[in-house]
Amino acid sequence: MSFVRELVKKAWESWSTRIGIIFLAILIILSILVVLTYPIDFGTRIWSNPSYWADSPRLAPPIWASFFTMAKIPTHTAFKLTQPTNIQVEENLILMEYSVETNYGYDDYPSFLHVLIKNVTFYSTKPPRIEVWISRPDNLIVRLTSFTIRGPSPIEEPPYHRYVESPYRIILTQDSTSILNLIYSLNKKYNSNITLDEVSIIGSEKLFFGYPSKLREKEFSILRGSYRLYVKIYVYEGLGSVGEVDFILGGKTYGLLGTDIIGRDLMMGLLYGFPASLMIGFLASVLVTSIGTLLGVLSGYIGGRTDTVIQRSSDIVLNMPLLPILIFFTFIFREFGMRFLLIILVLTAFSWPGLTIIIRPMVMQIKSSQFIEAAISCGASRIWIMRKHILPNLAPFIIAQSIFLVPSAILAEAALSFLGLGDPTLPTWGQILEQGFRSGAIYLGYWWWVIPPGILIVFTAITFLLITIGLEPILNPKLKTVI
Amino acid sequence: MIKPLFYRSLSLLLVAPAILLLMALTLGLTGISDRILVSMAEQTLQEVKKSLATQIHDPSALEAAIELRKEEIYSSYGLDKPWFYRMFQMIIRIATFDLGRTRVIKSFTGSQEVSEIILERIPNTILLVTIPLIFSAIAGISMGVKIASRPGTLLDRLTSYLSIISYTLPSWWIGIILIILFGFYLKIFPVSGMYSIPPPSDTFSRILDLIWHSILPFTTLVIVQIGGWIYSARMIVLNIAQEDYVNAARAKGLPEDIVRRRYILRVAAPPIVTNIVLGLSGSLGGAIITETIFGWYGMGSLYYQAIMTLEENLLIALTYIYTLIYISARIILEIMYLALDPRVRY
Repeated sequence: MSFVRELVKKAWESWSTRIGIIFLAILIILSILVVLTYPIDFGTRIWSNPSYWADSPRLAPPIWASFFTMAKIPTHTAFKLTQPTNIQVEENLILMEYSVETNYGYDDYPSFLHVLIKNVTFYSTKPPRIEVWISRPDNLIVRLTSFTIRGPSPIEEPPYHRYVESPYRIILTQDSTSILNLIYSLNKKYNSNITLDEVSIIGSEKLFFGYPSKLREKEFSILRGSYRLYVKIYVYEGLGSVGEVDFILGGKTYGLLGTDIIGRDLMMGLLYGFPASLMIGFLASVLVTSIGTLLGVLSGYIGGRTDTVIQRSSDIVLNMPLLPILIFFTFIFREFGMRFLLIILVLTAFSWPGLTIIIRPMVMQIKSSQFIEAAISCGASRIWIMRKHILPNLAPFIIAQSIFLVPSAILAEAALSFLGLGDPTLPTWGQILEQGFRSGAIYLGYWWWVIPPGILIVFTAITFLLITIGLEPILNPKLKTVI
Repeated sequence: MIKPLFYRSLSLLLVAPAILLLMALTLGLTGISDRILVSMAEQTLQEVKKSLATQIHDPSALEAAIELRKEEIYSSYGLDKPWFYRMFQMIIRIATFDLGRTRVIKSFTGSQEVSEIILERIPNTILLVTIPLIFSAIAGISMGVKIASRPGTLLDRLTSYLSIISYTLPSWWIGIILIILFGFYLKIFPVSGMYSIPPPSDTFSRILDLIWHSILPFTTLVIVQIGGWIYSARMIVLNIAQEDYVNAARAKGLPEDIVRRRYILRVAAPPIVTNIVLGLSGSLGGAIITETIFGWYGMGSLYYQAIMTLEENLLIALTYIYTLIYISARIILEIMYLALDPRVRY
């Protein structure tokens, strides 16, 4: 392995390689962290599953975007309560209260208000009753909605479990009972005459966090101050428990990188792109390098008819238009599943000739040197010579070439994904960009959706190019200065 | 000298039939070609059924009549024979430039002739892809040659790093960013399309409108291409400038200008010309993704459309034409090498 040490030592002399290697280390560390912390079926179970993202705001820009506008934009806030804030025990009745208080001081309305109830257990045949209340800074206290949990069926045995698999979600800002109750109280307090039909024009979130400031125009102003949201759970005749009650105040901004059209946290998807791109890049590069080298060595060393066949076929494949062919094959075979492997295979099938053609004359040159003649006269077999004498001599060159192949594979995958041919089970940066573009990002200005994935693609590609620049003097020993 | 050139060209010419065969085999073996034809035949059959049902009222007679027509229709689509008969005929037909007709895609004038559709798109692609290519090649090569004469200076390093960034920038991403910035937020340039809707009536303002619409795609392509040109030109010149004979020329006291012109640039010419010719020939195939983003009706977006609607004829014809343009460029280069590079002797 001395040639590898030599290679690294020489490459380290160049500034660009040093920067490239530091960048690569960052990429690899991030990828390892993602692989360790993300579930294996992240793509299918989380990323492409809209119900997973039901409680995050759609198309919310990142939090830091509000620095550019002077207004205070509501951020996404989730209150998760696993213990009741208050318990009252009466005869045959337990009242559990889950309540949160928040001081609302933003310059805009939240995008939604959800209440989630998880994991309810009860023993009585009379199921628990749930009420959702709001108390506003203008002293308006409204019971928004109430309902009774589905009772036990005749064949069910206590304890009865409800909302275990998926939580019970009350979308208060779309719940007509809550809206009606709220309108009734608002109309009474402010002498307004809002009707249910007008709510879709006004925007239901304004009813919750605003008050009618101009009665004629049905205009609302934000009501700042302290809000209290609470859920009352009445459990009858004996024990009962609730796993968790969540109050979710949908923000107009979300996280470090915002969300997309179905509320997905873009940062989560972009982070997943690190291992996905590196895997595609490395796999494609290893495959292309191995096939290209193998055929190049065979062609150069064996010569004769083998040489002619390999050279003619690489000539033909090399001169085919790569992108149209890639698109064609990925499209035709897209239904067979494992699309990312398909992309890698197609990419390999049409990219090997470049290396084969460069390697052949190098092999022929080595073949004519005297140490090979010596090895032959000692009775070394062809395979032995190719493995022990020719490959080590080519190694630095092959390694440098394989690094150069990584960014082209990553860029090719991104391009195919952008055309909608990516693997839906494996979210990549190209796919996130594609979804942004297809959702009209350019017509609606969703910059946070399309800029970061592109930056990451470019960053990754540049990382590998920087490393190869430093290797240039090894590939081309005559060259003294590169950059 | 002629004989090896002839063999070399012959092997290049083999690429075209190889690609036709590859695509036809893929469409045939996967059953996709049959599936398209069967769905078309079934569609025709449904129409025939409807018209027959109004004429024949006896159910068994109707059944027999439909069965008879079904066979006729299937054989008219060539479905009575296995796919390779049909595919073989198609290859021969396309190879002799009888490009056939499309199923759905139409030209702007409503024609379904593949050749007409393609001819109509070529000028658009030249405007969108070839002109930025020529611009970035000229600008890039002159900059590359210039900075290569002083390697290691601040300007040289800066340009080199910038050109690497430019090389890795995906055109579609830059396109999207320019559209969001200049089209959506600043509203200086149109977001998409080739003409305003409705297009201006007189020719002069139509041309102005077209230019206005092509500024963003032009800028996009120049940004992503120029780096490659700068870097490759710089590397070619740098490689030659460090040769011993150049040092020897300097050592014997030749003025720097002559060394540059006769000893460096003369030798650098063939590889640079190769890049230009290959770039030009590649540009005629269009930029599939850039054209799609900018809503430009060129060869690239046509290919994408053909794939998405599986227009067999159009798809294979387009690939065949790309390949032919490319290999003709290669053959022209082989001949040009003989003239440009006195070291090349067959």
